[in-house]
Amino acid sequence: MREKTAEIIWEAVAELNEMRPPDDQITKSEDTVITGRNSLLDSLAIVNLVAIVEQKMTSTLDVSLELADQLGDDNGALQTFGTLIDYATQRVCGE
Amino acid sequence: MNIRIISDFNAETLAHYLNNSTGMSTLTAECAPFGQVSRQLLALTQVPKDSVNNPGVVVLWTRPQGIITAFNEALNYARPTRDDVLKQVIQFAETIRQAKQPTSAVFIPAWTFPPHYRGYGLLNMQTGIGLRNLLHEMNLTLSRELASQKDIFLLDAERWVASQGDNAYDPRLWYMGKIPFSSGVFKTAADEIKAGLESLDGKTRKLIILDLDNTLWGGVVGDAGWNTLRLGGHDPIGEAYADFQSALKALTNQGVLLGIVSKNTEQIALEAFEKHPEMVLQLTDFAGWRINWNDKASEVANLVMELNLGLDAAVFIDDNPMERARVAESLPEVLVPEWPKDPLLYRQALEKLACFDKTSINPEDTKRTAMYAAERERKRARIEFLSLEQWLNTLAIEVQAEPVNHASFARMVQLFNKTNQMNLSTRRLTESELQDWLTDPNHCMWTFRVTDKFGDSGLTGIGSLFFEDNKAHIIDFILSCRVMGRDIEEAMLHVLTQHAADKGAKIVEAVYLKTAKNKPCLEFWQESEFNCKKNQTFEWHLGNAYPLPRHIKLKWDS
Repeated sequence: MREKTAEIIWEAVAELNEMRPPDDQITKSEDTVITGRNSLLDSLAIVNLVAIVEQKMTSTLDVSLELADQLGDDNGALQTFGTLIDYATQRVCGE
Repeated sequence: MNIRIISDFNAETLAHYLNNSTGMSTLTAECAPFGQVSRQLLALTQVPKDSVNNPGVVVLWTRPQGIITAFNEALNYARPTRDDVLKQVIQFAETIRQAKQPTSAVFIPAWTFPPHYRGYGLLNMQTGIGLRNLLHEMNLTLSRELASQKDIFLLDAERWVASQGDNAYDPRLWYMGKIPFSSGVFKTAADEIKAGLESLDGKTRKLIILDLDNTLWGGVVGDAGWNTLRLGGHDPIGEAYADFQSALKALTNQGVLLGIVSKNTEQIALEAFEKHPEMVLQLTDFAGWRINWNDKASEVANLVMELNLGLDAAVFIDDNPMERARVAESLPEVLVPEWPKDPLLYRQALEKLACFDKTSINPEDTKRTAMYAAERERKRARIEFLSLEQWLNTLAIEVQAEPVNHASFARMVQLFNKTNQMNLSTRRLTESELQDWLTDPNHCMWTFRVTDKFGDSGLTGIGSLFFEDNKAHIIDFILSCRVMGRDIEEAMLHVLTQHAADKGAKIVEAVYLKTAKNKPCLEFWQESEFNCKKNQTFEWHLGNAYPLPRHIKLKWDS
């Protein structure tokens, strides 16, 4: 299941990259920082990421993530793409 | 090109798509601080046209409830009167009209509702009650109020929203970022706005070059004959091909030309057009064709050249992916859209192409195919004569010169923005910029209409003068490639020099400004009677009248 949720996250990243210049693409890596001091994503990118991932998780896996709750939490799901994939996978598996 | 986005919501996503998508590399979009629509529009009214603060093009995208307070009350079922709402819409239109002055164009996405919004449900389309009914009226009022204003375009945003279905509006984006639409809506909007900008820039595609077998009809005509083709009839595939042809024919009414490049035996293919009872397109609907066994990329280039167009004006449609790839690789300026395998989707694929947008429609557009058919006849007649002079003498050419009049503005702007080859200075102007230029008493402009025994070519030439002391400068010298090479150019110079003399000028001067495409213009001036000075400057002393070619009958009131 982790593979499936990762696929959804990378699809969302691909959508975000369509609106970014070629020299400012978001790296598809689990280590890429989403929020916090070392993040290269601006607030618009984060808001769009949250909306696209939530929409895709609902339409593909019928799971509601409610990521907006995680936005202010430095240790939450939106630290890196790796933590986001873990969080989404846990929600899908009902943990 | 610079774009400023003025909105009552966070439209950064649109700016990102405009800045980062392929196609228009020189485009720079920026968002004004959102939620300050009236202030931003009022600020624009203070900006001089030549100021560095002039944003160029403005995209004004608002939510109806964000800008029309009476409509916001209506959304809360407070029932303000319809007149209150429409009065505010009229006021908003007036603010837009004033803000338009310094800009080159304003694009206004029409107001929309989320698809899920039910409002009064059963009564939502009822006049006097329904909110969707009211919103339609608001859009129509805005459109009507701005109709007389040139270069303000109300865009069909309802289609952008519909294209994304239930995902068009995302409350998450609104609550987290004050973004009312999903990224899909903004992406569609960016594509449409870019198509509009290209149209303003004169980069509209003018020609669709079509394959025949399995593109215009089902089956291979050379193998089985015209009577076996799938076209029309009680057959979904045949009906889809006939429908595709109808859509192509409809485009010709907007001035888009059709051409054929097909690997076939010409006689067999043409027989299908003449004999098939359900053939929608007739040979007279095509500006030209190349039906033979040669390489298609070469034949596409040959046909485009024959029609005096640039490769960047052409679209190539072929069911065969190999042929599409060959043309796309060899002629990168030609637009080669991906084409569906299923003929039932052909018409939809054609209608989705956002490359034929126009800033206006004028009578010349609807006659364009007939003009090319007349040109084919001229060329056929030309072969029968030994010399060019003999041929010109038989054409009975009439040139009508007229001072600029308002009714011709749309066609003139089209000529300004699309003519490349016979264009002295290649000034690109919007309708309002043209209007501004003409307000200077030292400026004057003439238009030229051309007819001959084969037909009416319409308004095909523009010449303008700027008077300074005893000199008249030719600023614009533009002639459509459709009528080049018949000495219309000489007749234009006759009129311009005569007019300059009447106004007291002693010398007429023209400075050629080189572009990648206007070498034919330089060649004309070098062969004209004007004296060639250095730096590609040409001069005529008005002691003598510039000669009018004997085979041209000139109609003008000097």
